[in-house]
Amino acid sequence: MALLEIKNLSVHFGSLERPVIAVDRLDLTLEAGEVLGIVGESGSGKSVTSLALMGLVDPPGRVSADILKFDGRDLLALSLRERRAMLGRDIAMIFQDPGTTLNPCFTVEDHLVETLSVHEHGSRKAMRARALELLQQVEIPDAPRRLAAYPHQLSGGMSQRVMIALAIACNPRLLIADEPTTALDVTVQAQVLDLLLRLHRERGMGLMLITHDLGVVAETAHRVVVMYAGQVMEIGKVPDIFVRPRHPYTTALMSALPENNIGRKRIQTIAGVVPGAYDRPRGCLLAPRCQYAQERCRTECPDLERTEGGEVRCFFPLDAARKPDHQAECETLGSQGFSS
Amino acid sequence: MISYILRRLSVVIPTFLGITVLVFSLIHMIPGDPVEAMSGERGMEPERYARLMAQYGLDRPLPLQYADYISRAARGDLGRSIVTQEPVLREFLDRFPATVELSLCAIAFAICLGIPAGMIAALKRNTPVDYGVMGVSLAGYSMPIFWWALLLILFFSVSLGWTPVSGRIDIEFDPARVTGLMLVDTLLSGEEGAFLSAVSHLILPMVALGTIPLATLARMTRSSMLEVLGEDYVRAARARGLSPLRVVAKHALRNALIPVVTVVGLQVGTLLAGAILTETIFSWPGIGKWMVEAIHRRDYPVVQGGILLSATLVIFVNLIVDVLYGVINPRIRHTR
Repeated sequence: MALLEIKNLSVHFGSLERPVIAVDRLDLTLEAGEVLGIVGESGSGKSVTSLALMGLVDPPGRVSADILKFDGRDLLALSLRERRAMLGRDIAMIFQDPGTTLNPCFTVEDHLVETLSVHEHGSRKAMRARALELLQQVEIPDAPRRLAAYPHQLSGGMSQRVMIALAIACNPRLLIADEPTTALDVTVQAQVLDLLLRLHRERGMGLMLITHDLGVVAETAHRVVVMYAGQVMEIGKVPDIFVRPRHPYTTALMSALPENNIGRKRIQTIAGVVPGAYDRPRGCLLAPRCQYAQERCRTECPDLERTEGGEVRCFFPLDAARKPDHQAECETLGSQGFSS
Repeated sequence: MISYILRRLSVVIPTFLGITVLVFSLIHMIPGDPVEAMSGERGMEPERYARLMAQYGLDRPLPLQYADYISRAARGDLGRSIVTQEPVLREFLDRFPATVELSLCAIAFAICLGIPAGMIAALKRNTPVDYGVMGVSLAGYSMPIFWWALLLILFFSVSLGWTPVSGRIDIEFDPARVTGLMLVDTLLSGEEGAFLSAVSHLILPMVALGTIPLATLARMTRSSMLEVLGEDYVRAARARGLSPLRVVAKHALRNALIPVVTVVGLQVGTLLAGAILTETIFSWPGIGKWMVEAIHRRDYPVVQGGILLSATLVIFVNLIVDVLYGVINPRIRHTR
């Protein structure tokens, strides 16, 4: 049984008549102990998906789903209080900017002891000991002294380690890491990532790694979900998806990686921008930016189809040579294309 | 922390000098002088007038009078009232507790109602509750104190007869003066009904004086709270499974209060200014009423001394507030 099962999850903001679609009929599973990478540009709905899963989308945001199951429990059937009790205990989350996610008025110890005391019983002394232990587990040097530190006295990497300590405090089964390294220095990024993976291995917890760094995903994840404008475009195993991407968007993301542009004067980019709130295309959401787009792509939205080893949302998935099935046709029709 | 306080105190002396120059020149710009004010409508013979002016040293050039005043003030001598011949400092200290009592109650009233009202408005933003709280507080903020005080008297004292119109306590009670704070003294005296009488006298002036700070605090708390509620650490706290009450009352409020505390400090100046009107209307025997009377009598030493002492008070309260600021905001405490 999957640790996390999501079917048909949608998140809408704004008015009922003209909703802003942040997440569009998303299906997702995550096995126990799996590292699942979620990639996509800014605004593709990655973070909102995780917030919806945590139950932290506030009105006027509206969340709907057919299935939202964690560890066999139906999250949709739980009361708010039961749902909240799971946060931090069964599902924990770390955020992008560690500099702003710790409360500036409280010490590291205050944060840790508070989180522990909300979910577990025990004496204050025992909690303190646990807090120290947690800091040591996330490899914070001079841990006893850091307990009394305020967030502004910590570096970015150190703050993120404290956030990780907070997240693993109650031994969660699933850790959602929302761009955990984006705001950090490059050297610190690798250390924090190593730490996350070590904790994942040691504790066997599922890890949902939200990022726009394909390199990070290639090194760490078992499977990848590629999101675009709130929709899943492709799901595949690592390394299959890197060796043979089937969706034109996945291919384009990879062509934009610096390491795939060695020797070029300019890095390849994807022309255009993610569709705005009110100008979503009628057909495939990528159609206006896709060099292989056909007439059908502009009028009809493809479904997520099973392929060998994964799923892809495209009428004309790419073949092994990274060409669409209708190669002859597209060279005459493809107009807007990816710039190079 | 100590070096911080010392640094702040070093600014106090130039501030005092500035205040004295200002007060000194302003009060001498008002037409008339104490001797003329004492002589009444019929006036007095020029020789006697000149003699009295010379007696109080008022015939000398202004800069000389100023230098003389400053050199004595620096030694702690604020002079004597021209009218009563009492030392200014003694008169001030006699009346000061009444003003302290009124101001403390007014600010407590403002804090106890204003901060919760602002919080509720922020949590229920863009709902009728929010509009109601903000509308009422805007009205309160815009209300001139003298008019608001008269309305309160008309309604609660005259029409309903619930509260007395003026003074600090009914005439039949005469509690021994221990602290000068009527609420405390009546409790200490143990006289039956005295405390309630003091409370009933205090309520209207407290409301009249506390309304503007209340409105300011409510609006300030609301905007500060709204800002904080959008912060990442609030979302992160929720993501750790903390209850909404804990997130709001502990994580958000603590941060939201930082600017509010500063405003409370700044309100002390507003309170003293408001006390002048409130005390005059309610015949509250505090320093506000004392100074208004002194201005009418051109009692120069009292006006100068009173303003100097009030300024000292404002400066020190703000210093205390700044120190408090460090207590709730660790970022200030550690970065000197």
